[in-house]
Amino acid sequence: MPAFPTGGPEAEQLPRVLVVEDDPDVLRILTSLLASHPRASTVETAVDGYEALIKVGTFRPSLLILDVVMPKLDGVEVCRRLRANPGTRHIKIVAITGRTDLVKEVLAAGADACLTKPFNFDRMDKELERFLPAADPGDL
Amino acid sequence: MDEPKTDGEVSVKILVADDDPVVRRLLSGTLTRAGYDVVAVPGGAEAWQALSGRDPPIVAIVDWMMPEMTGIEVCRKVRETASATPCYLIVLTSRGQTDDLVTAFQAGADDYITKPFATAELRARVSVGVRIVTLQQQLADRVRALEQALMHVQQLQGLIPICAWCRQVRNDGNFWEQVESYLAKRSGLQFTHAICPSCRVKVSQELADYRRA
Repeated sequence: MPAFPTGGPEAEQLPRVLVVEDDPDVLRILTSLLASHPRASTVETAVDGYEALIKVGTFRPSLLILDVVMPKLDGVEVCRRLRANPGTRHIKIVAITGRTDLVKEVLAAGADACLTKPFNFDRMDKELERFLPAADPGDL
Repeated sequence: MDEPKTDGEVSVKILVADDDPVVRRLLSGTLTRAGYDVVAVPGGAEAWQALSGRDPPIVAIVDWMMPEMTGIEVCRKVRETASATPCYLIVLTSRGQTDDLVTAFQAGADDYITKPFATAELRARVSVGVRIVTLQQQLADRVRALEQALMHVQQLQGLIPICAWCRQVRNDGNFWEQVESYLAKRSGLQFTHAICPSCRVKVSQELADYRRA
């Protein structure tokens, strides 16, 4: 396991995380949670599933923090499309939903983990630890 | 020229029942030229057969005096049978007395035409029948659609038990579920989870405290 660079000139080599959430306030909390996490990452955001798919192509994240109920294209469909495409199949997905009845569906669609809102910081941290070190191994 | 066509290119089916071949031919000729799909029969029994069969005519012109089964008997039989879209019945008669007309209406006729008749009047009376039956059909369709909508609404009526602590609600299957899941399944409502300003302040503080710890 390669050591993680913490910033500076190696910042480009940090694992890239795309946070997809339609509510701006929840999005801010998620990004500050990532920013304050001991494991550093480069964070980009999207506000719906459609924007998420576009940013997956340009930002090439290794981890997606993905809301499930969203306008235009929901999280379940984003999971399906990422899993169906060989170029995006490797991306780790941590889904987050306020609807407990959607957990099964989103896991079946290909999410690696699914947390429920309101999220527990400890659980979020654990999921980030689980996926961040393994993220972007090619670039490190 | 009347406008016999109601929906699209499907022509309106009209029944003509008269035992006199000359009158029968006159009636069907006039109505065929007016654009109707005419079914002509020589007696009451045949008329009843056509009216009680599949895809029945929506307007029927039945002669009063016919052997075996009269036009009046045809009217009675039609009215005895329940139908979602009842046929419009016109009795053809040479008896124009008030008592006779009352008898025809009591038997279930919607209108009458006295012989000899003017073809323009015949066409006009038939088009009234078509208009009424079409309106009835539209109304029946609308009622059906409203009934379905009402069933949907009723699923969201009544007293729903909600947990005072976690705000989950008890569904019909006696299971507890989130109020947003419950409503999403029973209506067109979709929830997207946000955070209110006071909770945002609280959660941000909690995150800061959590990071410090």
